[in-house]
Amino acid sequence: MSKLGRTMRGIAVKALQCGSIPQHVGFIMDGNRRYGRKAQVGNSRGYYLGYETMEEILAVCMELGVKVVTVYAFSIENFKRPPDQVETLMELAKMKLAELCDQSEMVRQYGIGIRVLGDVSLLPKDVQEVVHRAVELTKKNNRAILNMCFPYTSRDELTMAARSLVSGIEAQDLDPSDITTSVLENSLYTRSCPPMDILIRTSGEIRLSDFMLWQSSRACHVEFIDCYWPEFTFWKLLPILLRYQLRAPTIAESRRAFSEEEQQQQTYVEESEEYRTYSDHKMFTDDHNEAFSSSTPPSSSTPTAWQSVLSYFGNKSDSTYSSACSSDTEVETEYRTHQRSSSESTLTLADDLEETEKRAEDPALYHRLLAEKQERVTSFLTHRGDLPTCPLVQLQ
Amino acid sequence: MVSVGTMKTLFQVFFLPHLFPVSPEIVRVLRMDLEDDKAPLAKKPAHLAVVLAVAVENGAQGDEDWEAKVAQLAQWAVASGIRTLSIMRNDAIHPEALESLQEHIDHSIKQFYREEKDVPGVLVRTLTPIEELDQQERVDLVITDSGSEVRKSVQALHGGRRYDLDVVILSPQDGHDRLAGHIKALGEAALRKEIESKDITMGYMEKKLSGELSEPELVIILKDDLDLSSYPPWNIRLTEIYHHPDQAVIPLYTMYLRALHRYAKCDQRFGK
Repeated sequence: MSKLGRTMRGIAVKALQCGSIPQHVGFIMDGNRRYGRKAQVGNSRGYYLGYETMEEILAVCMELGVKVVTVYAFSIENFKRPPDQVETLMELAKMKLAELCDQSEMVRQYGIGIRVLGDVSLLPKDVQEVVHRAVELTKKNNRAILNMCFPYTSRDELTMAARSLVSGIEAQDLDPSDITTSVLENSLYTRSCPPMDILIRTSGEIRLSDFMLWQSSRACHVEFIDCYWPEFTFWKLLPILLRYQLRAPTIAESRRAFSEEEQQQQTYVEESEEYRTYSDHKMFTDDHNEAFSSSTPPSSSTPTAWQSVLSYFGNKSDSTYSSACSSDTEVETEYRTHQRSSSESTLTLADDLEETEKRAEDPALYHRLLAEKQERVTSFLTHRGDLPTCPLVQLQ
Repeated sequence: MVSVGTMKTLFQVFFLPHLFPVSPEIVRVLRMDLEDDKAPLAKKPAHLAVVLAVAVENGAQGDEDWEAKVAQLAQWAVASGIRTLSIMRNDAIHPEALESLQEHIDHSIKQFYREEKDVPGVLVRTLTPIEELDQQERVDLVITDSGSEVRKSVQALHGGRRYDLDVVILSPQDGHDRLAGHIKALGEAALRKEIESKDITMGYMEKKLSGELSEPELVIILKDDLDLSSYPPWNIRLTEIYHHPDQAVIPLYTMYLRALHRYAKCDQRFGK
């Protein structure tokens, strides 16, 4: 790149930083083979150029201050490609992953933790080793994350999360009522990442192709751009970022609405069951909100899903809740039996409520139950629901 | 290809100016659409999804406008041979509003097809709450396995009414929250020892989640900024996403036709 080009880019980056910078950007790096054919350099050269583009875009994103970059490197469906092409991609991935974690100046400079998202067990043994090594070597890096989706499909990810949560219920580590939208979100591969802000697909195709379906289908700016991935540069990214900056406030607004809605839903009682009058319900809602805000450390921004998991860690360390829970074991066991027997009812906070009422509306008990619930979910997400190639990290 | 019947309907659509907004743009697109015999539509979606928000700031007027737009989309969808039309709203629809929408659509379809002997039936529905679905499934799923049979059971649920177009009204809660709700229901089933976690495969999830709402082939985003507005994430895997940035200046119909054309052109390689 010429000196002038670099200077211009520096100026543009500075200008962009005056607006809001996306925290998490996803790329579907499509069109490498077609570019190779178009430029008449062959498929494997196309892949190689694609990798170089990825490195360049990653550097730009880091310079901008993006925290997480997620790239779709290889789909589970891509195993259907001719074996020699799959082989080329595997070799390239092996070489580049090793290079990234051992020698890359960029990884050191920006403190990038490498994560490999997807069903790693489908990869050849030697590639698996490299993957584990790359993740292991960079797992302490907590300033930024590079998610390589390899071999990944979103439906596989959702199935994996569902299976892991249900197995948690089978092992009695979780209760069905613990499964909320944010808990599911925190069982996905992207659990230690902020929610996705921008998804970009190159090559002019206008579909997601099983990439980040969950993460990109709400409060996420989606862009389809009509150029092959190796042709993608900072200057093509710039208008996308500007468009994002224009609508960033509405995205933040809808995220806030989602998290509020979820809190409300947890306290929602079905009318048909006629548990109580509206005023009681309202009192309960206030109660619950109070409990929620007292159990999360005061944070200035909205409690998004990932933040709440991280705040669970905070609770765990100060251990006031766990001691409160264990001190009253009798109540705890009674509560548990009640929970188990009530498989009929799906809205279990209603059960909590019933329980609370039975005990003469004892708010202290209710708080304990809530704290216990959080404890249970947190310990599940950190231990049983652990994903080896996506270690949890608290981003700086 | 477009059948003679559909062709006739399309002509009716365009030459009934009191029912349809006529603008030079529509006439232009119509010509392009109908005279281009060398390149007819290669394929048409069976399930079309539309993200159409209610203009909340306009109050009751916003709701009426929304209803009118849905009725219009339903007419076009029936005319172009689409089987399922799912509409993504920005809030949950009130049951009364759902009934009035059904009446509105029935009326407009009757108007639309008043020259013909057979008036196609349109069914307007929302997704069944998961708890009810679960009970219903325990009866149905034992006998039925393939997707088509699950469809039949859905149809039977609505009093066996014959319909040519299935209009599904979705709200943001039907997206991510519903998926979490499904997993919760799975967890409860696991506690009852009805399933085991190792049975949860992609095929199982697909059966569970696509039984009531199939995967749309095309989604039209009627919104200034492109985002998917909590459309059920499981179902938009290979969906073509059509969005035009200058929404304000392009009539709805043009958008509809362009989206169908764009879909007809797309080439899906399924990973290869």
